[in-house]
Amino acid sequence: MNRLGFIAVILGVSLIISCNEEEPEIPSVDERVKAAKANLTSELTSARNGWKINYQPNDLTGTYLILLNFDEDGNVNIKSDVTADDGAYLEDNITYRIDVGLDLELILETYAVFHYLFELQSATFGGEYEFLFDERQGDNLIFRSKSDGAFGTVLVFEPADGTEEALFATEELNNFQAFGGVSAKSIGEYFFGEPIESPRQQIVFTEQGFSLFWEIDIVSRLLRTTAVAVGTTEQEIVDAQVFSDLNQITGYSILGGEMVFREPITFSLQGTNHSISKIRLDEFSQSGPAFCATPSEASFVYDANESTLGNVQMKQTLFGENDISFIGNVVYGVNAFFIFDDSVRSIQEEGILFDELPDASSFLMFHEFQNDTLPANMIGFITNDSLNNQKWIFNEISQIDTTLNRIDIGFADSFYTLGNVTEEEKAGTRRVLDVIFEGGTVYYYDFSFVDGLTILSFYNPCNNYEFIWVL
Amino acid sequence: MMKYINIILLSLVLMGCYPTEDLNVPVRDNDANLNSQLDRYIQENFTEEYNMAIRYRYVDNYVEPTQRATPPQIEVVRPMLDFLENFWIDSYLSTPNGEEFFREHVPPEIILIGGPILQNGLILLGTADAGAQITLTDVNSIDPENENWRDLQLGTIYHEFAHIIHQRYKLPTAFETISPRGYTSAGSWFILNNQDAISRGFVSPYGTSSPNEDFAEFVAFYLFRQDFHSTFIEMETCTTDECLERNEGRLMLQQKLSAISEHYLKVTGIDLADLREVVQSKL
Repeated sequence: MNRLGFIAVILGVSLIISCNEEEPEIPSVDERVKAAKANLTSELTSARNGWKINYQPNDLTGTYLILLNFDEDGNVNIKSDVTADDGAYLEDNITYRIDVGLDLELILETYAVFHYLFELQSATFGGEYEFLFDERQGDNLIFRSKSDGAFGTVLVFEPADGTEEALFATEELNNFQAFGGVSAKSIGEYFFGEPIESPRQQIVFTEQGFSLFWEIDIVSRLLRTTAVAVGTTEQEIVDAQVFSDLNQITGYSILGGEMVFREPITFSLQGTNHSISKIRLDEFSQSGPAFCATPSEASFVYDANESTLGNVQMKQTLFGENDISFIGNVVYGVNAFFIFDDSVRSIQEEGILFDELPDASSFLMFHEFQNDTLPANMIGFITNDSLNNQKWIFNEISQIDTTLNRIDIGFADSFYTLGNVTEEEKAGTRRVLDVIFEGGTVYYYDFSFVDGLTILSFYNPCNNYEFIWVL
Repeated sequence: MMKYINIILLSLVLMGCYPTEDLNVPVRDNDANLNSQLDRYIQENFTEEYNMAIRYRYVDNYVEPTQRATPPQIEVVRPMLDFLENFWIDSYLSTPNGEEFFREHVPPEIILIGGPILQNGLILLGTADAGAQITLTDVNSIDPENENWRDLQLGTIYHEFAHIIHQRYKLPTAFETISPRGYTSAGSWFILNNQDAISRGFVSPYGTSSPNEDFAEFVAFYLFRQDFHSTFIEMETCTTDECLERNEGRLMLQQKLSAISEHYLKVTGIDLADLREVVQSKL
């Protein structure tokens, strides 16, 4: 309050006092604070079955179901459908406090699910655990986040009716965790500071003969539907050649055995419009195809159902969008630093590249390169030693096939070299390439996060190695 | 590169001392909760015993407005208290003249933070302010067997506790003249690496930021680093110029060790070597 305002209040108070013969009983600040706290405590403890929150920390997340039950002694029981950290946040008993600052504040005093969500993504996820009380609206209590600044999340505490616990879908949520594991993450971790693992799934509508593709962020409960294609198997999709990109983003929740989308997934295929707002999850199994010949571990499949489209199979997949192609007559290249092993270590700094070719500076591929002197297809390294002597050591490619975003590759015995390259260096190069391309198949994705640059990221499902190439 | 930035920040902040202006923030205890077993334990063993408050329930004034932090899990608070009793309090109690010193100089407030303190998405691992309050981060990851975690906590505690000595009794006489050219200009200490610091006569880059930090870093490192003598005191057999520079730095570090030890003994009655021995016996 500014000084004038303060004076006005004092004047007002003194006027009231002076005009009123009977001295009014204005409660002291302490008394008013105490009463305000008691009021909110009484509101919070009044709900017989506690409160439920469909909690959405920010616009770009799905929804978490959280149940709160407050007692008058400052304790709160919190149940949630967040299965992370081995179920540590499914239920917590902690203490709460009501403070009076500029507003009435509800503070969850020790660590529980709200704090876990707050800390995600280096505490930029948008979670909160200090709430400002706004008002009562009907039966609901309205709070807003204290820590979000001007654009605070609004939290609606709705009286629970005692049936909500049946909606917790712990088993289904845990099953979805298993969909992770086979997908690129190192590149995201390197560039964005933490693994951004977005498993890709093919949603096969078996009775309809088409498939959706999406990538799913299990922590944020967000999914991006990338494409729809005619066909249920890889071969059918390749043969049909009806593949349209969608790029629709929606939050989701999993409640009572159903995957529910905040925004329906809509698309038109062969003249028919479709809109999907939820999918019932039935049977989870590890019965899908393996992504790597050795070791051949089956992938996960969720048998499911959509009310009008019928049976659905959600499968792990490495296929993605179709809007970027692996074009020929170009050179793909990158600083040799950007080849990562399965622990996000650059193999130029530590690992096989460092051991075999410590002077490697660039990692390149000539793809269907039309030229009189160089082989059309080859992959290898340019090295620069401390005296700035440059060498080219490239292994020629005997066979290369591209299917959607999958590249199958085989190396010839022949090399193309420049400079004084030894047999040992050639053999070393081959050993490095045999690791990067172990199994002979890599998948590529659009990773063009810099304007004006076409950047592809490559993922090897056999050993979880990743690299990027810039065009 | 992101990784390296994080590591730089980590070492930057590991020993960071950030004076805050709101030392005497009123702490709003929830009276209703003071009856829990944990609170009674704190009341008896810390508040009444040493006049030290342990704050584990979150109050947002514990960090700067631009920083983000969480309270600890309730389950880790008691193990953390045991850690403090064993690795910090008991070290003084078991050292000749240590108990009297500890009771007289104990910081009034220990704040426990569950995770790291984050600022603009970057991690600050530990903060503390000159003596009145010690903030311990990453308490949810408690693991006294894990050297990194343990060193983070002990580094923070012993560093802050060392500040009390120069605040009350000044620095050792002419302390700042031992390595006068080694101090860095404001805010630039983090461009140094550990080897640079040794060459300048310091135990850490952060120590070069001022004589007070130099003193606090030195005492903390002396107490908890198992490799203190081999790293900072004993001469290397040299074949390179860098090595010779480090040995020159070690001559200054040897002077600092005797100046600080004498001063400690004189003003506190504690022989730092005794205290180090007790601390080391616990590691």
